[in-house]
Amino acid sequence: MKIKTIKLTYEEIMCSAASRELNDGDVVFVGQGYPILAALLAKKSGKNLTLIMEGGIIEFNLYRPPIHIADMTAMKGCAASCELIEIFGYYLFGGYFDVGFLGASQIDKYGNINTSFQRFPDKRIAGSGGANEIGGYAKRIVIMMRHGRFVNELPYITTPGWLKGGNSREEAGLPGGPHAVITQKGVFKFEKDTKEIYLESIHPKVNLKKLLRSVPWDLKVADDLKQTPLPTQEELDILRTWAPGVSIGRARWGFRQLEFLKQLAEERKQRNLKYEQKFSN
Amino acid sequence: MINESPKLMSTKEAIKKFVHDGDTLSITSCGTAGPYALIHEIIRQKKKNLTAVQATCMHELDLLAGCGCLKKVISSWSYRIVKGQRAFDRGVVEYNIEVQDYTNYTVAAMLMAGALNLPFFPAKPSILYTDIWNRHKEGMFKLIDNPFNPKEKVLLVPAIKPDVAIVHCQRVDQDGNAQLWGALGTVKHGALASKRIIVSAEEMVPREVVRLSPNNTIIPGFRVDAICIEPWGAHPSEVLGYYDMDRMMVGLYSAASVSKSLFSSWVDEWIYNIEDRYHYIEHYTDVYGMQPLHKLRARVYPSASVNLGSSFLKDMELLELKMDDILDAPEMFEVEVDEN
Repeated sequence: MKIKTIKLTYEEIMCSAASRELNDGDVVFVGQGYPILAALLAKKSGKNLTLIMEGGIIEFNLYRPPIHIADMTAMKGCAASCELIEIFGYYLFGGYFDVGFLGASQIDKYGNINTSFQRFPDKRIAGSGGANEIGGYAKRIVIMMRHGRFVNELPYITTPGWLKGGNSREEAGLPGGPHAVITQKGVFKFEKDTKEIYLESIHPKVNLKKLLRSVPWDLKVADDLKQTPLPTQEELDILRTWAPGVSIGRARWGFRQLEFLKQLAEERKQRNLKYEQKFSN
Repeated sequence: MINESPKLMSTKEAIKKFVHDGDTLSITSCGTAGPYALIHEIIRQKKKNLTAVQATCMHELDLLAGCGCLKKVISSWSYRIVKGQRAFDRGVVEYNIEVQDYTNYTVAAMLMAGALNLPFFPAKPSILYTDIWNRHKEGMFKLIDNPFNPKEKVLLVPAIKPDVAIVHCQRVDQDGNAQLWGALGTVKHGALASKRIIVSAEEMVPREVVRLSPNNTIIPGFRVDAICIEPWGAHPSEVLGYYDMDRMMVGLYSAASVSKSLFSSWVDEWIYNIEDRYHYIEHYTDVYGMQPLHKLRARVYPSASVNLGSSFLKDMELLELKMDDILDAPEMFEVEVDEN
């Protein structure tokens, strides 16, 4: 057997794992951040998906990762553009979304999500955006959590998951529910009856004991716990050429951009200085 | 002449005339085409005690809150790429700003009810199982029995009728017909719900251009109070067909927003010490050169043209009638007319 080594990041594993949760033919309501990158990865790897963005862009493809819900980079070649309220009213509340694809900062045992407050009321984070209603009315919720954590009690519930587990969501009259959670450590699914979250697969080189310790309750683990499949070379190529920010980390990407700007300003200053010297002599 | 519009004025004049202390201000954008030229002017004129309404914001609310213009915010989401406290958070404490935490749909629904001149609008019950409902402040929501089906509860949000809306769009004609294309977000209802509307646009075009593309008009001219022509008026956000978002500038601002002193020197440099948008862009090119702006400029990618034609036949032509046919009709009768 021939063994070769490849280089990759957990962000790349996350995107590829999340993209596998989308099925051919799905209509997907995509949230900003990593969900949109994973959805695009699935689409660019050949799945037939109808992607919809909250700001009013229907069936888009992207030549560059966007940064907000109406990002104009999604307009090139999209099928329709409309108003935000139409996306919610006509399509989401009508039950036409197979998947609601969300980011999260904190998640509890039953897939309820917090994206509003790190600590209520003074430590604010992004806010609900469309997440509350997407979590309430899409048929399958797929959640990506990169920096966040699992907590026993959310300081603020932004988006309904399986509520208190069991039949509680159904009794509340909400359709669908959370289907999978993808973090930097593993892929989590929900038990059929109790709706409690469990670890389905673990990413390579992640220590299971450490993972279990990072979850504040006795996390259930699948009997046949597998290793999360690695991204294919094709997936890595797509991600790296199309969204280098994923591979090298978005913070570092942002930092690089700032450095570039500083460099421009410095060059400019030098040029002005030279110019002034030239004419003052 | 194209410049003879009575509504055409400088941004300075428009903000002075139509935005007053204590107003409810509708910031209509949802990320794309943020009305930054107008926002910077509001800050320069030190407007106070505004209530800002915006579903999803990039850093419009961060700027206004940090500069002490706001007393209340009705919003749902803000762009926070850098971790930690933002100017918005410091503003909430320093200026005692009340924040009403909604969702994108509910803010859009409140604006739609306002625009349609209805008293309120239903929201979906998914909110009832979250802290958006549990921790809501008085007057944000009402839960009633559905009058048509008493077994069902209905969640309502009130209509919002802001005093003034600020909109940035691609183009406008001298009558104020404002055209916006691309993702529409909440721009239309955000503007039409408001009593007064200030439109800033990338360019002014002749009437004929608007009348050859009426589907792109989102605000009819008769509703518009002020027209300001501001090229690069949405920088650092983007305008479809004109320029991309300046992500580096957004990053620069985000990095400055985390500390009080960095924020205040950013605001001094880019708002208070700048006279208007022209000088803002001039300052930008002074510091960074033209290269970043050139990179952002949109390439040409025109929409397919559509046929706005009909047969253009008048009834007389369709039915091949002559004037005599009409005069011969049995319904015709004669009256005498004094020729003087």
